[in-house]
Amino acid sequence: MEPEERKPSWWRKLSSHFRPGYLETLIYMAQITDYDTVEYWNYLARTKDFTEVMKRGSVDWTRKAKLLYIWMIFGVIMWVCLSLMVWLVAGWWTIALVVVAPLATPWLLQWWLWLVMVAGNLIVQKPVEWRALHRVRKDLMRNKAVKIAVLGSYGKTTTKSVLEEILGEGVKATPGNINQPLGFAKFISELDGTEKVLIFEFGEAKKGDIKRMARLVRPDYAIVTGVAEAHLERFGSLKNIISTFNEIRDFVPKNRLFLNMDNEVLAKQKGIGYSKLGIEGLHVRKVKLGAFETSFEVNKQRVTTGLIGEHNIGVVTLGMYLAEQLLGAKMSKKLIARVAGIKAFEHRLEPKIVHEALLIDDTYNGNLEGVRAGVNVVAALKKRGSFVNPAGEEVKLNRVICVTPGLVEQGTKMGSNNRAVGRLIGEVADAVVLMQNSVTGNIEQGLNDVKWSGELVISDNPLEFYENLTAMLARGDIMLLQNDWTDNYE
Amino acid sequence: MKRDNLLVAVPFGGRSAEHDVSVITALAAIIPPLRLLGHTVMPIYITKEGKWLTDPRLTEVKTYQSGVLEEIIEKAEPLRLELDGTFTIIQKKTRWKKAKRRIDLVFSALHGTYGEDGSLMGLLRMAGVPFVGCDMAASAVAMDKVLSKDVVRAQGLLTPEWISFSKVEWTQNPERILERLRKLGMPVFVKPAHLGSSIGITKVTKAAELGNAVDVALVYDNKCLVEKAVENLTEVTVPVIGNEDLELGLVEKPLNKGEFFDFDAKYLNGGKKGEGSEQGGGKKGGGKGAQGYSELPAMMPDGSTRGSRRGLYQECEEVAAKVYRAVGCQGIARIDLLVDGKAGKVYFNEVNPMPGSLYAHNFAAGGMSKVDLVGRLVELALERAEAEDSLERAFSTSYLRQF
Repeated sequence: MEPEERKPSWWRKLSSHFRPGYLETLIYMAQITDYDTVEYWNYLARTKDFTEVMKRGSVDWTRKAKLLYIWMIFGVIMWVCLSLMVWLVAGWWTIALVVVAPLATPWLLQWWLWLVMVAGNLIVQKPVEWRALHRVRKDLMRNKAVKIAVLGSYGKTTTKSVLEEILGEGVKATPGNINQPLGFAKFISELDGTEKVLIFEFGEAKKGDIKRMARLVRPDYAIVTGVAEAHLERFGSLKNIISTFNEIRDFVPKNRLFLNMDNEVLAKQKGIGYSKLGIEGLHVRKVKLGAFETSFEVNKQRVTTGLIGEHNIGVVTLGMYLAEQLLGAKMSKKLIARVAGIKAFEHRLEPKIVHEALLIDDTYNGNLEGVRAGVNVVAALKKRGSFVNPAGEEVKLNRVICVTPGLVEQGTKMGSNNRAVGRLIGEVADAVVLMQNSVTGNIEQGLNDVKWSGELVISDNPLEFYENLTAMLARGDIMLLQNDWTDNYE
Repeated sequence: MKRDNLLVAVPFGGRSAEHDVSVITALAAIIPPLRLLGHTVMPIYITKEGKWLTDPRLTEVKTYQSGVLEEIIEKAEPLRLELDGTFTIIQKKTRWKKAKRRIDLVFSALHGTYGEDGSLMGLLRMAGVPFVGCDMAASAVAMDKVLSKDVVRAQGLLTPEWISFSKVEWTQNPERILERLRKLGMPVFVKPAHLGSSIGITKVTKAAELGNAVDVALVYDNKCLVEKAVENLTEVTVPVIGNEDLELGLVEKPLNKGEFFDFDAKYLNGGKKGEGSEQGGGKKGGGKGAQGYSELPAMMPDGSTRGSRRGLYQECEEVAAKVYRAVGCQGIARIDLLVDGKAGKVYFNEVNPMPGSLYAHNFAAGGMSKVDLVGRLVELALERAEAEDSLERAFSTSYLRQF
């Protein structure tokens, strides 16, 4: 497959506004940007050919989406009536209007949708939010549980889930990807007051977010899982990201602040460090990295976990440390069994056997650190020349295939970070599959930087590719699937 | 010759007992890899009645599970061909608009009669379009079990003793034929000479049952083959690809012991269970490989397997390659062999020019993915077409002027 320049002709750009599916496309664009009035406009501005928009997904017809659709139909009818009325009242000379009015419709509809989004935000969303936050504050004041905040550019959900599993009963964590004050409201309303530990995932979208959430939750402990150039489009620079995370220091003292020292940025900061070497009092030795498990020795006891990759060792020891500190658990068989029970999380370095090949699904990772972690896992297996499947059979390595569409939301570092992706995967891959998009060239550059020479496939139909990718696998192959390319980026 | 972004026609379905297996081969093993390789696929569905049609929905599995297929069959216009030295399909786009699409390559997924037996290849040769797999002559030989045994024996290879006769001969003088059959010695297998599947095949252990078995076989075919059963039997199969230089798949052993399986066990279970027979006939449907339906690679009775220095496994590989060349196969074929474990002998059973699902599971277990396999087959087809093009075929004569 040759990379194809996709520059839609002016006619295609224009005519794509006049398709029957246009209304649905607008709703989809609003939905995929979370009805954010600014992001919605940015997405519109980026979009040239509207037929390309819904190639990978479709509208989730929630109540909101349906209402918006009705609103849009109403808009079209209004516009037609208005045009006709003007024409009838003003007389035949306004016939030009009959021509101009339909032509302007698509652009007017973009505003029409934006208008209702803004109105909805002010009239419905804001008051509801304010009331919910008030309740959260009140409920949390009364709650006696130990509160832990989990924040960072990557690894939050994994950290939260690992802690939940190791700390066991009496621990509740914000579910799924809930990491905003409003999301906390529902979580808190479902607590029964007997919980010993509450874990909150703090999401950061802009400066001041961490402070706002910390003020609301008042955490006793905080964990910073890693700092990387994520959401650079909104933060501008790494410095801004670091200072946003440091907002937590006003609420949590440094002897209760845990930092992932595997991360270069955090390694220079003050707090209790955890890393692949362990944590205070829990020293890690004799690490074995497998395709389906990682095992290591802590204080002369062997610990095995279903999470793969060296970078997960730190968080596991942190969980064991907190179990000792908060719940008085000892390094017992029970604790080790809990760690052993942790399986890989969905789409996060999740190993599977397909056609006797090893497929490592890491599509939820969206940053360079994550790409590096995935590549490290594969590199370790490649060095050994084989992997052990769950049946215990040692399978000789055939090829390493890396599949990635590249990284999104890298701001001004879009080019250089994706070039770095190319350099990283170029170190291990025998074959590379890329999805045709704006960063494909950068990744190729990165591959050239390390003088990579292997089989390069560039797919221009990602949906079809992901559906059929197992057709590329044979016994002994390792396929590393990284990064998901959401629809609102081209 | 163009090699990238080809328009590849994939005919499947067909007027054959193996219609449904063919749909699975096309949808599971051929079309997705072709697309991943960057080719454009035009599915050509041939109904059980022989109507050819195309529709983009035909490449989706759900079409065959939801009743959409019936709707397509009812509404679709039959395909029209234009044979102007190329294989061009005329598609009706709308009432007024027609599209001519010149096919670069045909990758047939047809199994059994009218597809695997050389009929389609004859048409494609006439049209002058490159196609994947065995050519007309090899396909015709492979589909006639008697003929293929003749050909293979002429090369000095072993194949079980057999007797064959036509329906006419049987009706005229059954006694004489039965006499000959009894001399062959029991047990024997009675088979229709042509069909690829196990339909109409009976294992006969008592001479008294011979007549019945022959009658059954002759319901399905005009020619009947009675073959002596191999003792201490291990049945294996070897898929092979290549034109001149051959690449062998793994020697595979079906794990289903007991009586040889019948049509139902083989196909109605989606071709995934009961992979195995006892000299019973072709195995299609693409077994699940190491997942318990077959042993892959096979462990032979003498303890040899892949990587052994010398043994029955290696002998099977050699025999398979010889058979492939003897029959004149190209592209892909699967050779079924019968091994007498005690005597250490390898017998030829039959050739299958279009193994179900391309036997992709077997190649995958050997380190060749579906995409690699399909890509290689496309290359082989183009290589053959180029070689044919270079042959001189036009002679100028003065015959017509003198006429």
